[in-house]
Amino acid sequence: MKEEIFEDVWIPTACNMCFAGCSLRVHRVNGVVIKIEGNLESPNNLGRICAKAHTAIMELYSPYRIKVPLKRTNPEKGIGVDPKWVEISWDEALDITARKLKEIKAEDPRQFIYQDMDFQGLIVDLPWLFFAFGSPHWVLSGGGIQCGGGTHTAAEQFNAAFVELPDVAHCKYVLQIGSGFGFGSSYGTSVLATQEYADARLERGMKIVTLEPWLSVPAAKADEWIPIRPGTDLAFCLAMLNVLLNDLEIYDAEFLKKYTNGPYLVDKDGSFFRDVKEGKPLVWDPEDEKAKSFDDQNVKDFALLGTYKISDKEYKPAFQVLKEHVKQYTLQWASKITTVPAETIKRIAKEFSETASIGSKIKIDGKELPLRPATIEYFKGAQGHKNSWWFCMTANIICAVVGGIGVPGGRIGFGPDMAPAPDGSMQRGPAHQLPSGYPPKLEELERVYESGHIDRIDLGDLFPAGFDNCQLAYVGILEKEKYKIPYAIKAMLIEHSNPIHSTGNKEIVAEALKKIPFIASIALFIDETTEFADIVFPESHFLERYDFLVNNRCAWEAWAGKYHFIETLRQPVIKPLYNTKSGWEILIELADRAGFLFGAPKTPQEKWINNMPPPGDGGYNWWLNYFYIGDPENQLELNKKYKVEEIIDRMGKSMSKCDLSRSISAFVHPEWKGQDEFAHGIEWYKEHSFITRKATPEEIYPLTLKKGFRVPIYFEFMKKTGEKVKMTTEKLGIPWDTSSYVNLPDWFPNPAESSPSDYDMYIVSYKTAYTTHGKSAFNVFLMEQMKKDPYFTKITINYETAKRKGFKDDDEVWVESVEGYRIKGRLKLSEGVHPEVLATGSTLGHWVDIPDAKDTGTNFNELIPISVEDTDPVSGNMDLARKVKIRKA
Amino acid sequence: MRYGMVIDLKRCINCRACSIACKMENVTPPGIFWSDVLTFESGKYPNVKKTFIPTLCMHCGDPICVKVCPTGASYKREDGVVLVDYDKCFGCGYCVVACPYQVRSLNEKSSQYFLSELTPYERRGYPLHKVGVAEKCNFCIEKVEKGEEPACVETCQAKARYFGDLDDPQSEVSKLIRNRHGFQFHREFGTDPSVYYLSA
Repeated sequence: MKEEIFEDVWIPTACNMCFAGCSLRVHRVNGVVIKIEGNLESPNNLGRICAKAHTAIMELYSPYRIKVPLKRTNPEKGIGVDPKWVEISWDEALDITARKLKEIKAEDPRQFIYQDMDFQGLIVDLPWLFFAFGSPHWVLSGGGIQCGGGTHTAAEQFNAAFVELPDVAHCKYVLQIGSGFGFGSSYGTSVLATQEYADARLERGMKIVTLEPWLSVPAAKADEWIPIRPGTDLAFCLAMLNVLLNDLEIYDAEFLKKYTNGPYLVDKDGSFFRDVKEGKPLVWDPEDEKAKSFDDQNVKDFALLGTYKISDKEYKPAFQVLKEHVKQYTLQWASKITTVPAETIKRIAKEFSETASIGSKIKIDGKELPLRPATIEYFKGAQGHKNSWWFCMTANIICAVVGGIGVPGGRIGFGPDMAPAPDGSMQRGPAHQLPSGYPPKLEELERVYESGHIDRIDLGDLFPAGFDNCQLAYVGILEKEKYKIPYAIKAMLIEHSNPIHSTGNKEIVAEALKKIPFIASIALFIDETTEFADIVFPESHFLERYDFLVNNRCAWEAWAGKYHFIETLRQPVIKPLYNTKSGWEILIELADRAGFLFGAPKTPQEKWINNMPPPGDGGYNWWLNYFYIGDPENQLELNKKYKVEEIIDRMGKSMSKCDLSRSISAFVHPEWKGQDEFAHGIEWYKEHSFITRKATPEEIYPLTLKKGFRVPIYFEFMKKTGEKVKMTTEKLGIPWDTSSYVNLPDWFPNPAESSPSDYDMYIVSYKTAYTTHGKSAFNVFLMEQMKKDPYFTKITINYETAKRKGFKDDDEVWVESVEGYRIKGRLKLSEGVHPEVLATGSTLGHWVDIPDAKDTGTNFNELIPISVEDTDPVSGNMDLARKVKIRKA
Repeated sequence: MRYGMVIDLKRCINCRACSIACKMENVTPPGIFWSDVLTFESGKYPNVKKTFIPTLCMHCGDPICVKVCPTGASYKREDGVVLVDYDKCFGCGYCVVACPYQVRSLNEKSSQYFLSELTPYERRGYPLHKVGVAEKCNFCIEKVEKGEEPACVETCQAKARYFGDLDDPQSEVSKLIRNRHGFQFHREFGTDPSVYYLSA
């Protein structure tokens, strides 16, 4: 019998299955969500969506969702320990949690930690946490593990952006290192990037060369796969740089002179030669044969090469120093470390530099720009190592050497925003207030030095040139005495993240969680971390809730395909199925009950620092006004509790009126500033879903159009920063490695290189387009796909290696790390993996009682130690190139 | 008029959005995929290739499934779309075995994704299926008749799938087949598939 149709509607909204926040249209028939499609009108995804987006329906309707607030009755916590949940009312759950928050806020807000992995929600979370509550501990799940230090700091120094990517629209050659952006294998599936890459490959013959230990999808789709030993990409890049500078002698002299610090004169100690009066770095003008300030308008030419004698002292341009320095990284040296044949490295360097077509130009919207259609793209596979910072910088230096930074075809930033710095370098402009490591955060170090203690639970104070070392929060919790942390964490709020499964070895995280007396979790499912919670808040699914500004600049796809800006409203497609609330609603409720929703700051304005009252002063409403609601007519009243829809309405109407100097307001507002046609209330958004506009050439490629900014090929600040870190850690008695604070790229081997010889295999993990970003294992449709994949749920091993070791297909094995951590899995023999490498799908190996997820596959993260020693001391990135041995189970 | 599809193996990135979009559109029961992606590995390390091949019913011009069907349940329409009439099918499975492309499934027993309950989405969709009969891709014919494209084509994030009239030399599919030497898999079976592939 055919069902009578009494309702048939399509509702526009925004996806929440990864960072990308694609524009969706959702089909609801008779109250049931039956189909999700892409919104054809949106430049974010051009009407198409990935596998994950479709499967949101099965997440929404999963019977395993948490349906009511829960309270733990078993005081014992541990892996596999039954929390003995009892159902409680929202009032009780909120009151219990708010009481803890209130106590902590009054005593010391640093005792509270907030863990989250939703950049789409950060816009509302950060004012709540940092400013209204006053805790500095925003612990990002995945931060420092895949996402993190190296890449963000490089983006900041080279493009004044949070994220950099190839300008695929004009590129012809991408050297892809441990990445897969156009193949859905990065940390989000950018449907738009997939289309752009496919177009570039098909229509312009863009060549892709992939450096990767195993034949991943990106490697399989590339024109060439170059298998490489894990964690040695830095050695490959150093040798490539040497080939460019000393063998082929191909470099873009004009770009190096105008847009890098290559001409800055360097003295014997490695410092810039500066003028005495203003402290400005000097360059050598070969025509006038004298040193001049770098920004002197009368410089006729900039020397890049040579040695210059000034008052009996010798100076060399930084480029000359770099050129000489990289001579030691020979092809033979790199080949031994990477296992990549010397001639292959040389050939890639040649292809890359030739395709870069130094000197070529292109006209875009009437503007003439350099065209450098060859670039390097990298992500987790390359930067997830102890040498993360220097790998990222070296890859970027290579791009800079051929003039391929911030220009068409090259490596460009997402939403770049530059501000001038006294030494000519590029600083973050007001649109980038998430400080990722440049300029180095020396003031935090100085505070540590003065006070004798560390403020941040993730030891972030000790990473002045890094960002995102979030995994160390567990080290901070466990070893607070060693790291001179003067407080203990008393409460934690987790919002859709599962750190015990997704960080590193579970026992380490479990021990840390056990030390926290109170944990509340906002979650869809009882995941492994939520099992440690005292209170569980059931969250409304994204198809049941409102969110706003989900495409903020920190979400990778914020800037739709780099060429458009976009902001989308997320709106409910159905009413919540269960007794749930959205994360934002929960934060408002908690702020209300804990007494930090209302009121203005008590600190008088003349005592504000950086035009801002101190953290913890002023209610959440006040801070939302401060950051996002610049229009006085739409500001929230300070003593009234608003619904989420009302706040969105006022934020939307204020879209063009924000003060960009106000810290995080600039995550979302710069592109709409002063453009009143983009100010709309929620009713408009419910119908039209998003605002968008095309980016101008100046917004996409500012470096050569705005002028006056230089990117580094020499890192003078590093040695000085390292000295300060050394001085500080020595004063505090904290053992700390500062050896990689050097001015030029160098080879830093990862811990794997010194592992005992019987640990003879490396292990790496990977994701696929349909498992990107995580939380895939609790989705039956995605799990069904993973199980169909011949490799994903297994441990892939090279065919010959397996034969030599006496293993065959489907053998069950133990994989054991140097630290004694182990995982069990089944082997898949393949020709498509480096002989020294095991490769396994990530996101699996769950142990909570959710069918399919439980016991399928292995959890690679289990093998990863969480420690300062296994972290890049500069960027804060965790090292993921681990050595293991295998034996039959 | 002959409906057909072109799949560009060079553009395809094994993202499996086609397989999932098909599942969502047609609410196929657990384990049944009208649209799938196969992975093949060839060569010796380090000169090794991995190929991803999306599969679905080939809507053959001369379909074996129709020939072997004892009840006339499997039939070919004038527009080339091969369908199964669930009312005539009694689940003998001949077609499932005979299909040289192995893209038919027998919906053997009633099943659901979660043992504890049927989701509202499945509750609405499963009545479109019938236990005990053969089923397979229908080119999303209901959508196509409304002027839309099949779900797999609509969603394909690599724009690797195209749908149209093979009989019209000016259609996008015809042009792609002409310009890029589109081919049918296993021509030797002699069934003249309506699904063409462009080489990787």
